[in-house]
Amino acid sequence: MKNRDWNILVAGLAVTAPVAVVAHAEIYLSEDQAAKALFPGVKLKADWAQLTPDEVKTVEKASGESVRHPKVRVLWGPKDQALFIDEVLGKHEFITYAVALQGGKVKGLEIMEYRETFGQQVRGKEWRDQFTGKDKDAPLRVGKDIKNISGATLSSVHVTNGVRRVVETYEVLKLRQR
Amino acid sequence: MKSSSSVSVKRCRPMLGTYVIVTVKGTNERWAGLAAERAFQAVEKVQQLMSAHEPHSDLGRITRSGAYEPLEVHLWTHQVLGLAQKVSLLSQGTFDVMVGGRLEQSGFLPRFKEPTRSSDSTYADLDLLPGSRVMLRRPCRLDLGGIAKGFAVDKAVEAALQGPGVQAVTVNAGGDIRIQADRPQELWLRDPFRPEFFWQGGLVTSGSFASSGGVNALRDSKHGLAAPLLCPGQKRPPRRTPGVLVAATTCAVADALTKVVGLAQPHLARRVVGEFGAKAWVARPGEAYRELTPSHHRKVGEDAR
Repeated sequence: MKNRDWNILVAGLAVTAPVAVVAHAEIYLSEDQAAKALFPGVKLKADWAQLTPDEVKTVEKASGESVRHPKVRVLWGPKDQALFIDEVLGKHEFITYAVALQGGKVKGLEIMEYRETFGQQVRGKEWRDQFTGKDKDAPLRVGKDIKNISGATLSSVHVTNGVRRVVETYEVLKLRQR
Repeated sequence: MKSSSSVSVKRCRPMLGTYVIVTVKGTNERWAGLAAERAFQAVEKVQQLMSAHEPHSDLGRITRSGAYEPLEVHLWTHQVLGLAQKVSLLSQGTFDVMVGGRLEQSGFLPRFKEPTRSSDSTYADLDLLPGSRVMLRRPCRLDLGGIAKGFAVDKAVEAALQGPGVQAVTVNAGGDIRIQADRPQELWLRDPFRPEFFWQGGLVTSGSFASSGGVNALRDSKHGLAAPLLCPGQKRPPRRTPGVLVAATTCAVADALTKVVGLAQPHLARRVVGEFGAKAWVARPGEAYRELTPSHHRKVGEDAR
């Protein structure tokens, strides 16, 4: 890296107050774009499937994950191809993602939307107190224009667990078709 | 490269235990999309080679090898281990990839069967041999952790750039971020102690950055509070490490140096950072990032105004 880049960074770090973010969100792909990215050229038929209480139990037992939404968004393709749109909830983040399955095996995975919210803390007194003193004038904003973030490694374990649940959901829905 | 038209493609996938975000600006959507795909494939390859969780990765194979059994590994693995050894040596063991045995004990790594491994091994127990081979002096567990993540980011950017119609690439894997852009990009730093706060890091056209520290890494384990970051030579994990940002020539170097700056005595940290031609900033709770300077801790940007 050239020296001039260092200097730019040093100058940039001269900010005295951090920006407080209420909600940070990123949209990567719409449902259509996810379908095109994961099943290029394949015609998919969009559907909502409602899991019965028994099916919910089957999925939960097989995956070890609880089913928050018994109504499942799935796009069916030919030859046992399916695209599931699912959502998981992390500590502060909601993640919508698409899983492409082929014959029950994961073929691809794309994060569609990432939403992070600190809404609850923001309402709390303790959180607001952080602004006292030098942070008082820190701007509060929705972080949709905050990109290229370094720091606080986020664990993707929630998505990994969600995929396990989706795979079992596929098996349950396939049983119906037989 | 300047072009009248450009398209940006941004993709995110869960990889390396975190989220990998690839942004490519290209002359058309197809080329930008292909470049992003090449980037993810490079990350996938590094993950397969250097996962500490997979018994069949290069790292898993080294862990399962016995003492004095030379083993051939992929050139990339050899390169990363070479860098790790260099940082270990310069930092007098503050940085050490041989802490895997202790991470295994505290539950951060799954247990591998056989052979019995010592948990007090250090970087001196690993020999790098010519011909992309490595050899353990005694059985032990390695964990490349963040340095492999940084290396994956480096390789992803390289892979994305190796194709037609690519104007700019940014790869971010859980905070290890490399920017190769055609115009200045904003860099943001999440406050390590208050994740809902962001610091504006300035404008960067090209650079490699890594950050670490704060309270997020701590987790409860059955052995009490444990951190995936250990200070070699000390039994307990550090109670709290400062937030550290490092800018270096590569993300692999930047990531390795965050551990040194977070754990080593300041004079040693300064020397190692200087040795790599890098720069480091340190933040303590409720404070702004300050540059780690050769003389004293000076507030960042004081002389820039």
